[in-house]
Amino acid sequence: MVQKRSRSWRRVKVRTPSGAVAIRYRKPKPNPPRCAKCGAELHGIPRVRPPELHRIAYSEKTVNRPYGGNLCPNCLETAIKEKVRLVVLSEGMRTDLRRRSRKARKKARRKRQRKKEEAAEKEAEETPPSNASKA
Amino acid sequence: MPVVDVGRVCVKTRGREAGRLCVVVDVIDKNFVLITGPKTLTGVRRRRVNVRHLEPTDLKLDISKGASDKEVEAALRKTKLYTAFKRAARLPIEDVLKPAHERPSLEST
Repeated sequence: MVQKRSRSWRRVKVRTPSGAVAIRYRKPKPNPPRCAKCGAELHGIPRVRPPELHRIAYSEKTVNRPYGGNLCPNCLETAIKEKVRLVVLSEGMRTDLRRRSRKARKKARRKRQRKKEEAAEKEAEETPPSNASKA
Repeated sequence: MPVVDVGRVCVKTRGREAGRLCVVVDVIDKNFVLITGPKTLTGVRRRRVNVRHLEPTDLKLDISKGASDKEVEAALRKTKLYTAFKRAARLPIEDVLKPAHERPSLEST
């Protein structure tokens, strides 16, 4: 059967069992995989057609790095740096490092206790007779 | 040169451990430092790294030069950073990768 093909297909010479050399045709390779952000070519990911990607192992299609095979290392680095400057420096983590002094802790405890007492008083005021009779 | 000294909490920016928190344990020369996760916490091995592959934070632990992983972990426990280290072993960066108009505002983070 004659293949339906274009002249741009890759030609491969194959020696047949009868000894003659025949020309076989291979489909063209797709474009190389590129970084999702900047479009730079990614290394370490094979340039094969989609069905072939199904056939090869996962480890052959990726790079051992977060976002490996999707982002180039430079874009990942800038993203991480941006994130660090946004989040790690945010108040939540920083206050954890600053240990409260003994005085401050005492103050906080007293404050909490006062709040509790106030809440209890309020509750007692709001629901007096029925509860009292039950008790 | 970045401010990378003993006890400094950093985030790795390159390689398989990129995005993970780590602590500087020793300064080897002007380019290299010894860091550790410790591995049991953030998965960062005790290893030598180029300071260019680290992003320093303004957090610092009180540890001595060449502290062991156990000592680092103990220091982390003292500062409550321990939970932060466990929770954010790897920083999620999905939001940073989004185009600017889709990102949440600074106040919410």
